[in-house]
Amino acid sequence: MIDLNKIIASSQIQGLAYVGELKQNSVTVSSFSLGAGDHQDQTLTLDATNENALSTTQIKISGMTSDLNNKWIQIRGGATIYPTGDYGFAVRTSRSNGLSLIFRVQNISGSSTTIPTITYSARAFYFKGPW
Amino acid sequence: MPFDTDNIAFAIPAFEMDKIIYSKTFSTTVDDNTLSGDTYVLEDTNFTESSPVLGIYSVDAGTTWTDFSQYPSGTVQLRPTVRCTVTLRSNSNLEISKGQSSLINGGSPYTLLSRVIILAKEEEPSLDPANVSIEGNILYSSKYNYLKVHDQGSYHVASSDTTVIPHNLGYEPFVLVSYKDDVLNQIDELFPVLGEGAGSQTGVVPDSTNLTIYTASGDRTIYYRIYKDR
Repeated sequence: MIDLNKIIASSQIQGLAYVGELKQNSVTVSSFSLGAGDHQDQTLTLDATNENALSTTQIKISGMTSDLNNKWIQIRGGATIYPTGDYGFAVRTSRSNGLSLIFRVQNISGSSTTIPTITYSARAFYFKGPW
Repeated sequence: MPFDTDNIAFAIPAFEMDKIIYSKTFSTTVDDNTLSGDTYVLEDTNFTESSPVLGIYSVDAGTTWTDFSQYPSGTVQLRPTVRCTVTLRSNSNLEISKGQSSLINGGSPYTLLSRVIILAKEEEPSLDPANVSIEGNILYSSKYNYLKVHDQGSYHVASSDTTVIPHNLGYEPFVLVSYKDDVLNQIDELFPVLGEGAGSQTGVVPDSTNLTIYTASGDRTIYYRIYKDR
């Protein structure tokens, strides 16, 4: 049965249309030592598409000791993850000729620490804006 | 007006889809300062505070776009120089809040471009077409694939909370989760701050069977949508 309450009768209304199906990419950074307070950035780019599009983006960090290891985390704009008391991650997105993500790992321990081999992954759907 | 045959489609969808009920591009002159908390009213939208709001903004005339998002301060930060959130207030005003960490135009006002959409909320029983405001000419079209809703709902929390919502899709779905601050009467997205070292966690973690939503303390109503596609 059609639920008439679910029908919004206006020819003006539109949905979130894909302009790009799922895009996914990853990059692996080998284990390295990081001094107290230091950080290292890694850029990951998804396939170029309309940079004006909206997107639904998820990131995954594999290799860290955390319940969040290898799990997709939904983001919009960015995220901060603290797997241990030794180091933390931050990520943010921007769009110019595609969707770019910067992943940062930073030593927060107060002394030098070893960052394990880490794989950063990202995936996104792109949606057509009405504009 | 001539018909564009590429843009004619009629179908009753098998699955519920998100419905864009408002979209607009704004060009706003904003102050170039390093103070946080500047707020600019964009427009009275005719919609209320529990409708999901999404959008992007640019401070370089549209060369680079950034998602509207919160960027909390903390030990590890990776924030854009200009960070903006978009909020739909209970009085239906659409507002931008801007903070920035350094000057980008020598202290002179600059132009903030923004593109905002509002989605119909789940419980929308009816909608006055006169209130719908969509920029551009794109309607539903069989040329495109559309995001399909698998499940959606809302719940209220009064303190730090972890809620697990089963979906049993067998894969990690995309989701849309936002919250209404029941004190401030505004709706925002959850900025993920996660991990054992994060203290109070917020964020959204979908796995192949469940959607786990972490929320920090506060009187909040959580709205979620789980989508079918992957």
